[in-house]
Amino acid sequence: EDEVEMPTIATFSSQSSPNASGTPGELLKIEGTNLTGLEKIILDNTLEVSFNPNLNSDNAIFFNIPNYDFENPYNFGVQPIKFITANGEIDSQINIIQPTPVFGNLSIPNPKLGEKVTIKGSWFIGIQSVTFGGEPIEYNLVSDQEMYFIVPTDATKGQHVVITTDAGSTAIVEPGPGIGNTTFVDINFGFVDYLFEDFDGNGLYTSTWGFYGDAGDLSVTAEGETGNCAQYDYNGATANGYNGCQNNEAGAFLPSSATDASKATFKMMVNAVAGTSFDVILDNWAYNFTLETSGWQEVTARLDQFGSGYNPGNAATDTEKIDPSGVLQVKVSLPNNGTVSSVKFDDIKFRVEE
Amino acid sequence: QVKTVTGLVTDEAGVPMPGVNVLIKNTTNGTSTDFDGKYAINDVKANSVLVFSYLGFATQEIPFIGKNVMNITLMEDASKLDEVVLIGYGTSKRKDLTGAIASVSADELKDQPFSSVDQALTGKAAGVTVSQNSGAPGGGVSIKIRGITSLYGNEPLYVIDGTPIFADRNNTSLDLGAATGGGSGQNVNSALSGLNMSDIESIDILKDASATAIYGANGSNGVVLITTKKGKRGKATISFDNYTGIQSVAKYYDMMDLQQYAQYTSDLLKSDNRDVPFIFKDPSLLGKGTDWQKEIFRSALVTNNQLAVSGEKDGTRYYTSLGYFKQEGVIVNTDFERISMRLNIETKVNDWFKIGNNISLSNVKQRIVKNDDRGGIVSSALRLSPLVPVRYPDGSYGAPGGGVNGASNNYEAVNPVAYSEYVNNLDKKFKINGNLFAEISFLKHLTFRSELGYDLNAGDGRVFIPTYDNIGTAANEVNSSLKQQDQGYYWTAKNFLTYSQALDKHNINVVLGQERQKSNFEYLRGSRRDLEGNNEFDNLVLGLKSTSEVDNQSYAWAMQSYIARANYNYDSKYYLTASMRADASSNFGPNNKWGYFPAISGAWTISNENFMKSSSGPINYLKLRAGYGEVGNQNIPSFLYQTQFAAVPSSSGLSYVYTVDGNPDIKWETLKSTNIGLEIGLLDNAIRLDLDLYQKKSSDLLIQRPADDRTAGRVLPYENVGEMLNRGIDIKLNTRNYETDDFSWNSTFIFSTYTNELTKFYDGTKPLTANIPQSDGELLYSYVEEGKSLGQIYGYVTDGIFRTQQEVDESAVQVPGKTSVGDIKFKDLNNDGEITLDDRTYIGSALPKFTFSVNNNITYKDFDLSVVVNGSYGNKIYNQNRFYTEALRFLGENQSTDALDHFVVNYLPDGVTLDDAANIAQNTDIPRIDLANGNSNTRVSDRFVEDGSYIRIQNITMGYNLSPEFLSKTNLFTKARLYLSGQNLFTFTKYSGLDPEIGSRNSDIRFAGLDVGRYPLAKTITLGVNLTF
Amino acid sequence: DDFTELRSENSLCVDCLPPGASPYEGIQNGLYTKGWFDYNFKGMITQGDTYAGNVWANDGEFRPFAEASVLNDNAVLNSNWTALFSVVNQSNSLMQDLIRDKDNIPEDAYDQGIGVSKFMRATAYYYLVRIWGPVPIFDENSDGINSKRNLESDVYKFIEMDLADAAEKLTTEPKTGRIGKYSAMGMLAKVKLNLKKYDEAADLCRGVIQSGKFDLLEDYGNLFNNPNYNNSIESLFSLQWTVNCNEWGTQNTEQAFIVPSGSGITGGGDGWGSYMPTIDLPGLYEDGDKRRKPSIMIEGDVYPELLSKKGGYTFNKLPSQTALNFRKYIVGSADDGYNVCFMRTDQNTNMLRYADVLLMMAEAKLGANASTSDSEALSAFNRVRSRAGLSSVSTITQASLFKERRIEFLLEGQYYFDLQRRNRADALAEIAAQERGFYGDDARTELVSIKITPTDDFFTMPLPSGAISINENLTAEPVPFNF
Ligand SMILES: [Ca+2]
Ligand SMILES: [Ca+2]
Repeated sequence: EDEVEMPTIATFSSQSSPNASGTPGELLKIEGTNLTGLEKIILDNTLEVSFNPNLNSDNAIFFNIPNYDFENPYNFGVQPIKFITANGEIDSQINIIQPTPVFGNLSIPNPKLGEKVTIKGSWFIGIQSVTFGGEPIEYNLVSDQEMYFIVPTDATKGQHVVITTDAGSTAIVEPGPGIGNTTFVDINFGFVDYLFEDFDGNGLYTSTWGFYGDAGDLSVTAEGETGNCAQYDYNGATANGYNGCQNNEAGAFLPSSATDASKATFKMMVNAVAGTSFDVILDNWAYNFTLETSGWQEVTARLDQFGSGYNPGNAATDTEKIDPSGVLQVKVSLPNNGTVSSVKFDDIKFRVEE
Repeated sequence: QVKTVTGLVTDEAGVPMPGVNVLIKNTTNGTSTDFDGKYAINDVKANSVLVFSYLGFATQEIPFIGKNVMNITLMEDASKLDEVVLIGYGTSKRKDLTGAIASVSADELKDQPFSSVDQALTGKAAGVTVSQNSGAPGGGVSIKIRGITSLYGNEPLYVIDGTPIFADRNNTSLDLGAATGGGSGQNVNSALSGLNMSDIESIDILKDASATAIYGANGSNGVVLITTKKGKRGKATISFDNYTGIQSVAKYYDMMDLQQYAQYTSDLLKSDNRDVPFIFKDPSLLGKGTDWQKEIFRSALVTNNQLAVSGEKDGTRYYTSLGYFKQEGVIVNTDFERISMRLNIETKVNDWFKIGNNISLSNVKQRIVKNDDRGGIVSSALRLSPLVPVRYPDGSYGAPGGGVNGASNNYEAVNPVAYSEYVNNLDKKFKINGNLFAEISFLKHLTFRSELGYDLNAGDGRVFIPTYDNIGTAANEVNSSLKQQDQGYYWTAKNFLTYSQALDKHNINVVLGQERQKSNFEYLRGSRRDLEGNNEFDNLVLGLKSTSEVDNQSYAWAMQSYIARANYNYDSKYYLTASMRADASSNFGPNNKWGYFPAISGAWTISNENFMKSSSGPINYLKLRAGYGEVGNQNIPSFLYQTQFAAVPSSSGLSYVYTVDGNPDIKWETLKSTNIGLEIGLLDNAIRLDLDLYQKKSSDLLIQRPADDRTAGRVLPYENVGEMLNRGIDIKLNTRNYETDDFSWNSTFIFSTYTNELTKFYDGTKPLTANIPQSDGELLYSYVEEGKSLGQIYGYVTDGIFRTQQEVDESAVQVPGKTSVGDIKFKDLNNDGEITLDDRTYIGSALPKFTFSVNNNITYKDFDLSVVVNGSYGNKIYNQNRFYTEALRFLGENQSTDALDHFVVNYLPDGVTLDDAANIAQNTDIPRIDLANGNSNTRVSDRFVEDGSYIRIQNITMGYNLSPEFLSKTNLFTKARLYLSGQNLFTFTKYSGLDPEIGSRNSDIRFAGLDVGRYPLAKTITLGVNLTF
Repeated sequence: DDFTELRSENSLCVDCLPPGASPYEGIQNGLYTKGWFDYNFKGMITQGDTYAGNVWANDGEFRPFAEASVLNDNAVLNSNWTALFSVVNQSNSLMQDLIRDKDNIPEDAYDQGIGVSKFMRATAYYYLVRIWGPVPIFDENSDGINSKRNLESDVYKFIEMDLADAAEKLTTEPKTGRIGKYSAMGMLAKVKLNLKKYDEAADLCRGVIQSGKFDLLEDYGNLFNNPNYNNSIESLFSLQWTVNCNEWGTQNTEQAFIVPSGSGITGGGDGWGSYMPTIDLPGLYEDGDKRRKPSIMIEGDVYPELLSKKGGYTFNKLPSQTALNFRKYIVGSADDGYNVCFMRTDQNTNMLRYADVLLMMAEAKLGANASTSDSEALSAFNRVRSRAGLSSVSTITQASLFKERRIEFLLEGQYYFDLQRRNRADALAEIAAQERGFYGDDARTELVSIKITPTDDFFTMPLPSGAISINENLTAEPVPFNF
């Protein structure tokens, strides 16, 4: 018999690169000579690599970089690889590139403070840090596809979680319709927000608004914080001695269980010139806000701070408090002091704590 | 001068013959030879003539010439005119026949490596067409006698030693459609697979109705009477036969290898604006990939062993045998095994009482994989991508997978090697078949015979599907086991009186009889899933109890009959036969329970007339026959005269659906047949011609009403709605071409032709149709209107492919908005400017214009040679495999290499420049790739209709008989023969499929000529030996 | 002669029924299963969703529906015809036998039997008339051979009569999983909507709502994805499936076509991802819509209840050409504790449920108007939104109503028929705007766009070639029905 010619490699490339480098699972290609009869591929002297024998010819070998096995891991970076063929063995090297971590999802989209949250994803390997709103937090790694952390008990608002490994960081994904892989941890502080009205057709009570007393106008304009908003004008008259606007059809809108005024908060976006003072009246309970600056801003007040008999000042002395579940109407009133004034408001919400 | 004469009677081989009648002519003085073939007869006078006669041997008349010792050698009757032929409820000598009956002797069947005898009948008798529905070992065979008589079930009635075997009933093995998928066709066994071919003595085939009318309602498709071997004269003989052979597939489809497939798949993806995967970017880097046909087909062994002992002693004739037959399938994981045992015994208790019992036991074991189906193993092997390896280096099976490499979502693409291993039926059948009879001769001319025939079957079917990893789209994570036990009990009791007398030149034979038969078949089926034990055992008890499922069905039919027949002949010149049978069947309701089947036939042996006897012309035998008879067909499921409903599983309570829409008026299909036959012997029978002309008119054809809107979704009524006419010619020509002491050469030429016409069907308001199941759903395949013959393939007519947009624009609208350059152009037959269903027409007939066979037997000294060639001319085949292999539309499926040269449009294959593309486009007849199949290029059309004519070298056998001189020295064997035989050696055909011999799919005549990836017939070479001790 | 008088031991013959009502009840039960199997098998989704633009399907017989160019020899089209007529046929046979045997059956059982037959027949015709327009009408007396089609208006009249009669006869207290009076009223309400008889529709819906017998199931996903909730309080009419591994035709096959290819979710060899959500679908959902995840899988979605023994299933977009997969009508595997076998689940098919009645109420009140703020309409409409976790609205427009229906009844075979009831111009505009295409690359980024330009023809399916080849009279002009 003639001497067999030894196999040789001419080029060694991958689907994504002209070099023998790729991420786990990626297809690699060798072109060369006498490559037929491939029997084994051994990575890093230990790991036998599976391949499709039909993708081996005299002038080529295709194989996939093995998938990463957390239980039986291999090293990333440049590794020796050996091809055993019918004609002999060839030694070469491949560079296994660690992929950047991918954020899959959170086990609980709106956890409570101190709650354990599991993150699923991939390539949680060689972790450098996990941050919550940019601040590192403690975490426990379960596998290369799973870890968990405790929501910081001192958190005051929802934050993005970011995992950083040797290969990079997970990208921030904002929440949105149909988005399953948001990185935003929307903390459940123990309350539910009830949208009363946003003047865009959404909310618990979306009847038209009217005005009364010495009111000038109530219009819905397109300049709201979100879409449309309401603009209420006081016309400067004093004939009635009072003015205001309100939702026309009345009816209870908060759950019947919401009976504790100290666990219910009124929230509203407003915009008016700085110094504007106005009352928010729930049925006949009132609270006064005075704006320090102009521009859209949120005003909030707990319902137990509302005063009875249309008088915000009664709050301090009232022993009875408003029953949130019985509130029928929301009204906004400007000082009936003869000075024309105006306020825009939008996104009226009630936050009810558990 | 009166003397006593003694002597020895031997046969041609010198073997002494006991029981030979020796008679002094024109006296009643006679005797017979003893056990050693010796005789002694007294009162022999000077002018006496001694007559030596023995059944099957030429009678010899030897004048006494004064010698006291007369040793005689009897020759087997070459003319066969004295051979005894079964005619049903009696026998006749061939020369006395009035009907058309073909006979096949054991000699003609020997040495052939078939699992069942029906396969061996190919080309053996004129008017008998044999086609194998599947080449699977033990697989179903369709035998048609003289064309197509019925729309359902054209299989003849088989009668083994008087006991009928119904080919169409209760002979299916476990049909596990739910477990293994596929139709029932591939699971149909040959009705005769339990019968050991080596036990057969002779076969008589009753072809015309005057002969079959005695079988009444079961006789319309012809009757095959099989006689098994009986003990013969004298010294017991022991015979041992063995053959062992190797089978292989004769032909492969030319499918793309991996490089070609990569090229094609790239084109396919580009045509749909998709990326070409990395591995396919440079096909030259790839190897050949998996050749799936090579993986599923194999060289397979076949072996047969038979030991038989027979003889006669003290009036008792016995024959007993033990046989073992094993055939591996040429497809992996298929095989067939039979152990059989037979005891035929018959004894003369005294002068007037004879009793006998023929019993056979057989145990058949068969493994079946899904074939003859679009998801079957042959079809899968053609369709699966060559990229998929049979196995990965770690031993696990390869599987088409995921979206990565452009594999399709087609759930039928599985690794066929793995599939055949994991998913197959194991089917066992234990059979006891036999006939117990007693015969009493009351008076000299009156015999009473009583027979009890029985066919008892115990079936055992199993499907165990183990857990397995992904071999297609997904792994099987829960194993399952299904078992079926079934019992079939059939019995028939017959009593008949035969009166037979010769008065002067008048010969009379009258039979009067009565018969009852009943068949019960019942199965019990159970299954469980999730069996413990690592796939090792299939016992249901290992399975999860909550998955238990059970089913139980039974079927029964019964028939009661009266028969009468009279034969009369005058001086062996004029013959007349008349018969009548009345049958009452449980298949029909009170309105039509009884059927009456008369027949009459006659013959005139002209050569027995004095004017012929005295002439010295070349004609030594001349006989004219004519007959007319009526027979029935009751071959429909039971109880269809009643409306029925059946229970279905339900989540709560009883749940029924209407299943059968009954028709109280259904009745027998009646076949009226006329036959005219001519038999001529020339030059002392050196040339012998049998010619038969026949007409068969079937009326009240039974058919299940075609589904219409109103009756969709249930078993529709069977109705008697049509008439059919077959006319044909059967010719058999025997010639003794050459004959010397050392050398002889005989030929048999068989030719059959017939025309078929559906003369009436639903008064012309509906056609007879059949649809092919395929990926695009059920497409109309066959369409037969009144006035056409059956077997019509129906579809569009193609007119090449569109080569320019102008051509598309100027032609009839094919599919609005979908047709492009490169699509098939279908002809607008009704010239209305658009291609619609109305543009379909008859595009080929699956029925041959004629079939023929030529059989040559040559002996030279101790050598013998036989060559059998057979063929078929003028039949068309619809090659449904090409629907897939030239589909140009199924991603992830392989294609035939023909498809490489497809029309190129709107994208360029790699390495093709725009200039080339124009050239490619000009030359090919293969349409463009179109994943969306917008123009339906694969619709049923003449594109896939091919000429199915063929000539096949069916068999060549060369034998060597060890010389008697040599054998007598060994003192061990009386006979020894070695032979080499080749079966299905070569086929000359234009048909592109694996095998042009296409039976009917699922034995349904409406699917004649449809090739959907059937199990191909193997080519077999065997080496055999016959030894007689 | 007795010897040849045998009886079938496997089935009951009509002439030898035991006396009384039970066999007829059995036949009625069969109508909820095998009777509808063939339509549920491939037809319901293919005609109702794929054709209308909710589903992308690549496999041979489905793709013409996805591309809205269905030829008359299409297998699904053909089988839908025979499947629906088989329901008509079985109902007629039942009715015939009941009438013949009337004297031997208690009156209430007789009425219920007639009511069920008429309901089933009418429902099958309701599908037929909406798919093909004029079709031949068969009642229990017609022989049906080579019939011509009847006028579309007569088919509707026939359906209205049947359902009205069914509502009269059917009980108000049916057994679990069986239809009753309110099922017939609900079905009739929708027929009335087709006929623009809005007041009648509203009255019928109000009757169902005020009966107090129905409510919304709290968890939307349990309606489709968990057989333990079969025949919940929301169901007015469901097909009743059961799993028998060796029996074909009594099970629900949907998950076999829906489960992502290669995912192993079914635990058997099936799961081919044949039906893929069209690319537009996720964008229809409002933020926080709880129906999204039980309806559609998006890359990265985790379903702990699927492959539950393996720690759950995370959807990977690769097997799907649209990078999406349906979640609806996936049950899981035997390993997850369900009765599942190859191509078989016992998840009932929702044919009519309470959410539909609520939205029909809103539709009836909206009528032909552009919008409504009618409180009865709002209250019904907002109940459906509220279950989905969405805020109430104060105005319902044609667009918002039908968008809600498209989301609520996704993959329930309704979208095509909903489009039919819309203002034709709006419907055509909506269809024309749909992206029906798929991604051509493995990264699922390169869109191969498929858009269609529908005309009125979109709303008429071709008569199936199979039906015509048996009965050429079908191509003749429709004739009035002789009532
Ligand atoms: Ca707003
Ligand atoms: Ca035409």
